[in-house]
Amino acid sequence: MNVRRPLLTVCVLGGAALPMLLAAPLPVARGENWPGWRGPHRTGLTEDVGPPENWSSTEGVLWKADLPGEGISNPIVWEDRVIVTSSDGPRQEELHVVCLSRDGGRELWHRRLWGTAPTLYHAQKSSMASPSPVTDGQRVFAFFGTGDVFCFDMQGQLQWQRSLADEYGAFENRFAASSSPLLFGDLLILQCDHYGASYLLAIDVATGVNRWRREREDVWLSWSSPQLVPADDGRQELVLCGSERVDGFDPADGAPLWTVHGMARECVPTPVLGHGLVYAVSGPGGATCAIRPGGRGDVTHTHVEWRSELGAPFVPSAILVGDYYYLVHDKGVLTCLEARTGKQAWRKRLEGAYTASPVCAAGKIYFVNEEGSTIVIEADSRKYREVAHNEIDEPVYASPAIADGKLYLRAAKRLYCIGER
Amino acid sequence: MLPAGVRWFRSKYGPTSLAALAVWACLAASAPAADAVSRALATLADVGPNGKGAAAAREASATLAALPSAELPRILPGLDTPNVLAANWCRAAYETIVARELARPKPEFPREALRDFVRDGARQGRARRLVLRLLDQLEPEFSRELVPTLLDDPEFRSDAVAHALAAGDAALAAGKANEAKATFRSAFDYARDSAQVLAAADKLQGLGETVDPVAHLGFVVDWRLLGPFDAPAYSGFERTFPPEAGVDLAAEYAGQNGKTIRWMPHRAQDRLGQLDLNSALGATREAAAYAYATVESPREQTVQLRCGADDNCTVWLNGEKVLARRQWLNGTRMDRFVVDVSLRKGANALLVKICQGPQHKDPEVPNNWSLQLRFCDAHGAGVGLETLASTAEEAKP
Repeated sequence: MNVRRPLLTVCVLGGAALPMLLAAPLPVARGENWPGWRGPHRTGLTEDVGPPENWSSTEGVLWKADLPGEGISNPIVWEDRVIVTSSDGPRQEELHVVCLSRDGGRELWHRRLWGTAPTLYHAQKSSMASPSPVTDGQRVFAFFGTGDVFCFDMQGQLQWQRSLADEYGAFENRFAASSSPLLFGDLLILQCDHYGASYLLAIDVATGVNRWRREREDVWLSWSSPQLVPADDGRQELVLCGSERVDGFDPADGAPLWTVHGMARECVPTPVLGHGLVYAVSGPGGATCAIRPGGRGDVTHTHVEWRSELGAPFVPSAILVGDYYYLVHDKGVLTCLEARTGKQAWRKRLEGAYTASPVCAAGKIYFVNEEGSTIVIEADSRKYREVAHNEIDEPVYASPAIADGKLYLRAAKRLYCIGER
Repeated sequence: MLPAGVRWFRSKYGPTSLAALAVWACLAASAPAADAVSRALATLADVGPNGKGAAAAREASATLAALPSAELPRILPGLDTPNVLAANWCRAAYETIVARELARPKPEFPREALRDFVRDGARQGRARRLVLRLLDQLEPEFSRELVPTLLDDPEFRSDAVAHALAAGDAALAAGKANEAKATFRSAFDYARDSAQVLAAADKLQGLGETVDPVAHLGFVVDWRLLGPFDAPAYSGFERTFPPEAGVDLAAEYAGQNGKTIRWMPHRAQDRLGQLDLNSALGATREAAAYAYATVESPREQTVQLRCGADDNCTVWLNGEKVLARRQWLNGTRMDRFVVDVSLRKGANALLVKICQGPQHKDPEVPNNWSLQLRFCDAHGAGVGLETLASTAEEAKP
């Protein structure tokens, strides 16, 4: 997916285009987008310019926008729009997809929908809007813990919807589903691991029809999101973590390729990639496995470059920057491993507890704790080097987004756009 | 030069109203005919699994969205469906119409029809709540007057009970103890949400009246327990232990660590019927236990069996397995599993296996071992069953 779109959109005026024009902010040149969970590559990294290192509730905040309901999905950014999902209502069955203007946070459109089968959820750390939406620039796809998938065009018109709960059974999940959908060509891929019948699903982005579906027998509850990893032969592999293993699939048809055993029972973090490896972690107390893709069958003893149980978090995903692999544990211990060997470089106890996953731009990594404090550190360093420590007066459980030098920080009730004017 | 009629309208009502009139005229001219609306609703009703009907539904939804607000009652039936996909397509049209009308200087809606829709308890609750939200913007007094009266309403019961609890507090603060007691009693009787049931019970307790949340919600609390059986690793769910072949309350068995185990009576003391097996049988891990009760039903009836267990549970009713969930470490939650079951008139044998897995790798994760089970109607009210598991003398906690 091409996520870099410097553009000058030209709007043609006409009577029929009036509603669209009203919903569209003025055209602005943009840098890299943040199109889905953890950004352009689902790794927390962007090559875009970095956001500011310092801010507070009153300084450096370009705008903030009230959000409906609750949610820990990360905001996504595409050209002139920021899109956020949330849920509310007596049973969390009211679902929201909100599109804001990137310049100013004005609401461009707000779609409200009903979800099919709300599940249990964590009172503070989840809702039905834990999975992050994803966009290809033409459509926006939103998946919710109610087992519903929606597709909108960029103007917010509903294109198709699926009730996976009705079709394949309600999600059985104590903290609500949180796996974020992935785009692969014209496929929307969903990892649906839960205590009912689990499956992996690829939906045609244009029609909403299944392209393939694979039962996941002997798989149980997991909150991890799928990842795409390039293999040596130039093809891409779809990597899933959960149920004590990591599995590789062919994303084109869902055919199983390889398995690595030895992960924790329940997996939340999303695998990341670099150095020709995929790094999967599951915890707490579980392992990170650095796996060489391209294998077939059980590759536990042939394709695991290194394995470490240091610092494994339960919820936050890891981040790989250059030669270093950073893990922030839910309780705040930050562990830095050498990416090529798995050896510990350093550890540091950070302040607070962590649910959000770190993000990185321009050589700085941003760790946001549950109290809304952000620790900014130098990336790719053999030592812990803190650059800044910023506070906002609101809890944060969602992972941030970075685009065009702005940090989009989703707090409990508001979205903050942090940047320089 | 504008036509004379238009000039008159602008001079009388101003340019803003003139613009609104123009929009209305355009909409009225483009509003779909009655048969087109019927066809659009039929198209929406036909959407289904695997993206079925999505393309046609887009057009149908757009057709409905062109209706003026006065025609909203014609699309309300499209919201009143258990088919959530169809309801969402219709909702998209509804929201468009409502937003467009609310943006006008003087929005006009067919309020009486909207009120009737909200009042009708036979309609889909989510659709009624959606329409009530609009009425709340137009005439908040409608909601304030209606909702407190909906104590037995399938959608607004909790809202009405919340109002009753607040009204009881207000009466109490005003020194009207009898009025407060009657109000809390009403809140308790109609409450189905466990937090509201307990809140009302506490209020009544403070006023000297004792009520029974366990009976109100239908929890089974008098059990005979057997365990622990040894079940290494996660084997307990699949393994079959002697009670599954037949319950013999007088029998003895070899339990975990060579200990002889036998059925023992136990009454769960929790206010919401939670049975703590760590307390009742002793904390252990990698084990399985059984809970048995005889439930007396005054008649043949179909009721809901609702339960949750940590780690997982299997339920047999009159020898038939009615529920089995292999969910290690998934925690007990009230009403996690719901299944319709048929009760015989008279005694019904209830047997439950509850497994206990290994300690979580994180030593701070508690190794709970528990069961919570009840029989109730579809709204969550107890159905008045007697439990004959043990006599009062036997049932020592």
